[in-house]
Amino acid sequence: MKQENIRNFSIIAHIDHGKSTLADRLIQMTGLLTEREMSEQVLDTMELERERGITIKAQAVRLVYTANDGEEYVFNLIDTPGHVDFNYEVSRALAACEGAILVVDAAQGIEAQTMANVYLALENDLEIMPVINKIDLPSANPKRVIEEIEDIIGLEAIDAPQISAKDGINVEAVLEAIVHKIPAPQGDSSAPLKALIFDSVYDPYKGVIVFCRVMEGTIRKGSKIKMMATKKEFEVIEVGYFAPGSFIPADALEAGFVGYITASIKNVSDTQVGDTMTEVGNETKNALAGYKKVNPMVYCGIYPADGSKYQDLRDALDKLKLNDAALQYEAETSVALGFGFRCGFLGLLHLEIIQERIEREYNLDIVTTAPSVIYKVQKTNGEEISLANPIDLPEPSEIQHMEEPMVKAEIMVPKEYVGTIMDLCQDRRGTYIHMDYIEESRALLTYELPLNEIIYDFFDALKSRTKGYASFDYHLIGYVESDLVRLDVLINKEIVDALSFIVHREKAYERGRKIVEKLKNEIPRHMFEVPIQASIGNKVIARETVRAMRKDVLAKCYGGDISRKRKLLEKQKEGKKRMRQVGSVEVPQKAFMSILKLDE
Amino acid sequence: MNPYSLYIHIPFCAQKCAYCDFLSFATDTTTKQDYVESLCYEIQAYSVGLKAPIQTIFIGGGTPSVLTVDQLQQLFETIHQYVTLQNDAEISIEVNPGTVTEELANWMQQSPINRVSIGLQSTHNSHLKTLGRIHTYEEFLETYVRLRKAGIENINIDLMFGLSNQTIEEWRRTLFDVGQLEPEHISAYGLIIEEDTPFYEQYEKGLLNLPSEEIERDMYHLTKQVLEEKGYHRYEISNFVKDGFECQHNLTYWTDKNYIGIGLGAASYINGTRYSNTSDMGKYLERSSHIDEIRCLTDAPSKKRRMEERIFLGLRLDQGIHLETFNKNFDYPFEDQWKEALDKMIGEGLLVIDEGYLKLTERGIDVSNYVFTAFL
Repeated sequence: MKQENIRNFSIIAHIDHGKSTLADRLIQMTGLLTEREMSEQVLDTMELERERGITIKAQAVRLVYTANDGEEYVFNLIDTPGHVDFNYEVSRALAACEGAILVVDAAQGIEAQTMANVYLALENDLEIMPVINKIDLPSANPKRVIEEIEDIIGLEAIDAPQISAKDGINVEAVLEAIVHKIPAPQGDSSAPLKALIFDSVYDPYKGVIVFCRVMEGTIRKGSKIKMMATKKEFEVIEVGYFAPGSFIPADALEAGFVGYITASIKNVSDTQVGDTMTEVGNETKNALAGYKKVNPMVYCGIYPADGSKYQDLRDALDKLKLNDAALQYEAETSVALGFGFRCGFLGLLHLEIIQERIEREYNLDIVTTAPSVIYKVQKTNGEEISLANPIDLPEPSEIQHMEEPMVKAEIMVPKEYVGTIMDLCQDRRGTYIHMDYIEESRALLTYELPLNEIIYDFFDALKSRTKGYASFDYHLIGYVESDLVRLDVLINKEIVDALSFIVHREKAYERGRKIVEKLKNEIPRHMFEVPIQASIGNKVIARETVRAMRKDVLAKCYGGDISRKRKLLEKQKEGKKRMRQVGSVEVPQKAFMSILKLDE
Repeated sequence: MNPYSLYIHIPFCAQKCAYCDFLSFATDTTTKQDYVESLCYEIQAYSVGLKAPIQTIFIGGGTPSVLTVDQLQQLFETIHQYVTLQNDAEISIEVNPGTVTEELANWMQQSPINRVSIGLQSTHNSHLKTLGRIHTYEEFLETYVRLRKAGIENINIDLMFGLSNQTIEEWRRTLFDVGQLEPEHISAYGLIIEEDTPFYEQYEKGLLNLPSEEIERDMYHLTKQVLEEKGYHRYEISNFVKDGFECQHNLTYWTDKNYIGIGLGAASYINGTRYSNTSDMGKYLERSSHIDEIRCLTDAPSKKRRMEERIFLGLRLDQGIHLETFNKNFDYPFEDQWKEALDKMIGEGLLVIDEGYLKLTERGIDVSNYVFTAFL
């Protein structure tokens, strides 16, 4: 296949604008799959992805299309994750392409993630080809959306295909537009090898399967390759292309091609996304630009609900890590929760996905502690520490000052909710930067916000206050000094380490009060009164009391009741076993998680 | 040979109460007649293997008094024909106010029935209405007088406290008024919201204004106080009695004795094994003469579990568990085996050992499930 007949592209869109549906449709129309093989959203293979309607890991598929000009073209469609947590992965996937299809919902128009994705695509010099989707909706207004795209993004959109991916309307226009609008790749197949890693998955038989785009040179079966960032060397065992849901081995991947290699690689962490592969002995001079090591932004403790499942939890994390280089974890111990792990994630969604995968795919009940960002602590002795676990905060006397990570957030919101959202951002310690009206009825708000104010429930709050109309995107902009304190929770006068967290001093009182109220409802009555307190240092700032149990009695127990009542008692006993012992108080697992959602 | 107790279940009611999760329902005349005949077949079937004498019979429900006199007569003739009764056997029947006709009272007078349990629940008509009862307090009084006139010398009155909108003063009044009538036995139950009842739904929707745990317990403690002043003593968590009138039938449940349940859904406990009859009326009517077909084994508890059950049943009684007898019966040293639980519960003031008997304290009764779980 000649380079001129190859098109490498991604589809970018705001969540729910129909990216996966369009991908499915393209796959179907290029005839690689029969009707019967088509399941909904064939690119999203993980069960979880399908349920959440999001794409977690980038994947790629190779399509063969015979265009109206009679030529056969190979389309490499590289799927990208749609969420801000995975921005870096998105940008590397885009770097493997020459173009991007921008899908915009004909009813909703441009949203926050549309903008964020467009910026990413522009940063990677991609040709952006707009497509207006969902024209079948009664509320569709393609004309307005075309204007939005032209005015706000500055892209010519008058020729943009107007389609319904769901109903298969006008999708051929997209296929033809890909041929004509998206440039063919360039690159010298005889130059030294330069290939971009944009994703990898772990396969128990083949080891790591590396997804790559060859920029220059050729990668063959038997090539000795080197990862330029990790310096690891391997011998290529297999190369090939992607079919939906399977791999098609080939002899070589030439410049401009997208495909995979395997090389008996045991660790996904040896194949970092964004790294450049080259050939040992014939190395390219410069690695591709843009590689960076991904660092977790959000940390939390994960503990097995049943302490005896600690090893199982470790195995689960080990296996998840095989496919997810961004996941980090190390063993930690909590007085309240026993043995577990402090885990690092790219963001809250990443955290939730891992949490659900542990529970679903590995069948483990886990307890998660409140997520925390990384704080920087400048000590009086000149030392600087990065704090991932609130419990490790030094004594106040040893702290010179603390810093917290800030993000720049862009929130797109219908006009009538601007006030509400400004209040919300204000409440979350946001700094107003500016506001643009992108059309008469919608505004784009820019705020700087502390990351720790948005990792809990900001997105939920945003959605619930705008009836779901607001959209949101953010990126990290750095650290600023901040007046932070550690809030401790005491149950029956004992500090529960798993409940401690870092909070801005001004918000400590409110948070403390909400937490003790919430815990009061979660902790069952005991034989004695249980005080629940929130404190900063030695100062108690909020208190509630779980009153002593007064009544736990069965009024009736006759002949027919005995077996049933016995079961009831056993259930009660089992319930007790599943609780966590904090001193003499039994705390349900749920209580540890309930403090994550204080706004309810 | 150990004597047995016999429970006969009548799963019929004029109307189901809002709190009731028992197996009972309204039905037609034909089903009632078929059912009584099936009961007779089942009794007959049991009699083949049953050599031991019967020391108590309890006809419960539902509302047994919805049966006709002829049907009750038929039942007792069968019992008489096939079962050996001890001379002093206690024979109880449950009735609801409004269902005891003059004819029924007269029949009782000459029948072997010597104990009647009346479901009153409350002396306040407003509460009776909320509970879904079909009678008034006045109708109850009529029934009570009628039974007394018919010579019934052992009467129990069932009461409930902890009702929606019930005040402690109302409960005091109920206890006082019922005490004035001097029944031999009073059962006073704290309301339990059982799943699959209309009350449960109302409760879930927040429509019931139940007293707090604290008030509910105050009502319970008030019960003991008021009834003791009236000459009653408590012998089980919810049962109060004048000396010598303890319900022998119910004692069999709490003291690990054998009982046979006859009728739809009835439970049996025979030599350490628990059984339960089918709840399928069609099947019961068809096959009640074949015990193996209508009855299934529900539990054959291990020795350990039997001991545990003995503990949580025995502790319901005010006299408690006689430790020496327990050790002898089970050939097992109670105080060694449950030392930890015992020390903890005694330490928390929930249990006491008094002259060789292990008993719940008053506080222990209030939280008795907590105490029992320590022994499981």
